[in-house]
Amino acid sequence: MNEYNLHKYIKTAVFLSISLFLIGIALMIFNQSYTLNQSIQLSDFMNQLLLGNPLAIIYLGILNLILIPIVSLFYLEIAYIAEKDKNISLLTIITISMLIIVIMIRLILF
Amino acid sequence: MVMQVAVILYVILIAFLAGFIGSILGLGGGAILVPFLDFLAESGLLPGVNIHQIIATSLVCTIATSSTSNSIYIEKRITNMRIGIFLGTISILGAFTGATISIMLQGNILRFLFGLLLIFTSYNMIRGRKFKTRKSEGKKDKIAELLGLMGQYYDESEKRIINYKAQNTLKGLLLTFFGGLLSGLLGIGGGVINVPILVIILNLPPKVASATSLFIIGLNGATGGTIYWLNGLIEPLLVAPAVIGIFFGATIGTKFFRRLRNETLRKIFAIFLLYVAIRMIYKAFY
Repeated sequence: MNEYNLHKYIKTAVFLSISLFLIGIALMIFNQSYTLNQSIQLSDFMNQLLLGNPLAIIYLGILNLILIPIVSLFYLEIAYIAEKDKNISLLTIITISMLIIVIMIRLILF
Repeated sequence: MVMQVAVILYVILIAFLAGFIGSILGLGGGAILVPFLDFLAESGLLPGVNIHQIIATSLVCTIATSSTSNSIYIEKRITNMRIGIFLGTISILGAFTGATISIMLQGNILRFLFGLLLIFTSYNMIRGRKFKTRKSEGKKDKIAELLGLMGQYYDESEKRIINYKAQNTLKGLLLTFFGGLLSGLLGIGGGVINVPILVIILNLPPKVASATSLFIIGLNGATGGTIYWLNGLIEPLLVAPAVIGIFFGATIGTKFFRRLRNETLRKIFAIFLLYVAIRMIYKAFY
């Protein structure tokens, strides 16, 4: 597992998000039922996605996009473990932890 | 319905222009996208959209653009992901702080701050300063040795392999907090701060610095984007067309029109950016 193979995942993930956005927008225009400032409850997200709700499809695209850098870190962590490079794999864990900690802080404190 | 289609088309067009101009001039799309979308919102063409949603949109766009470019640099082995992960540790904290502050600030204060950022950007464009790597090796950096913050890449223009090693890593680590802060606060990538840090402080070759900065921008975007999302500021009808527009604008600009990049064009656009900055600052007060 080579760290530089990460480019394949990134390209695929960006392509997936763009595709989801295009499908979502096309369905939105076709359905003629959405305006600005509408949202979907998290608990209802999966249901709406299965029903083919364009807004849910777009949200999935956004989620996929935001996850690209995070999944990249996990990918690199596995690559560094495979390379048996202890120092950099420890640092990658610290960076991933930092990301999780700031999100937890937001969820707990604000 | 007509309104909804119009909104999507306006946003795609504006984002396309931002991506296109940004790629030709070597600017991040956010510096153009935010004021343009803010102008649309103020004109009543994006009803109910506020500056916080626009900043959140721009931040998500930075993930798309930085990831696309970064995948090419990773393939060419120019991006140093180890340095990116190292600096990302503190940059993430900066992006979180910036996004949290931004959500608390009033729209007019954000416009004022964005105006100042645009003045700084246009000043840099007019000045046309290029950052250069120092020739001397400098002091040995223990952190760089320990973490292997070094590398080599093949420079196509110089037709040779270039070796490099990071220096002053601790100083650079602390300073990247500000790149993250700016990114989370104003929805830009943060390259305007990261690249000079990577070249001047860490003494990396400019190409490696730009590519590694893209990696850090992705981490900033993911952190800030999550914080904005948790605050309900991600507007899908804004984000989806903006990402599509900026993606295709940047792709077309990079592939076919990069040759147009020259100093005169940069200076003309810098003056336009200065006008946009003054307009944003004026709007913040009146």
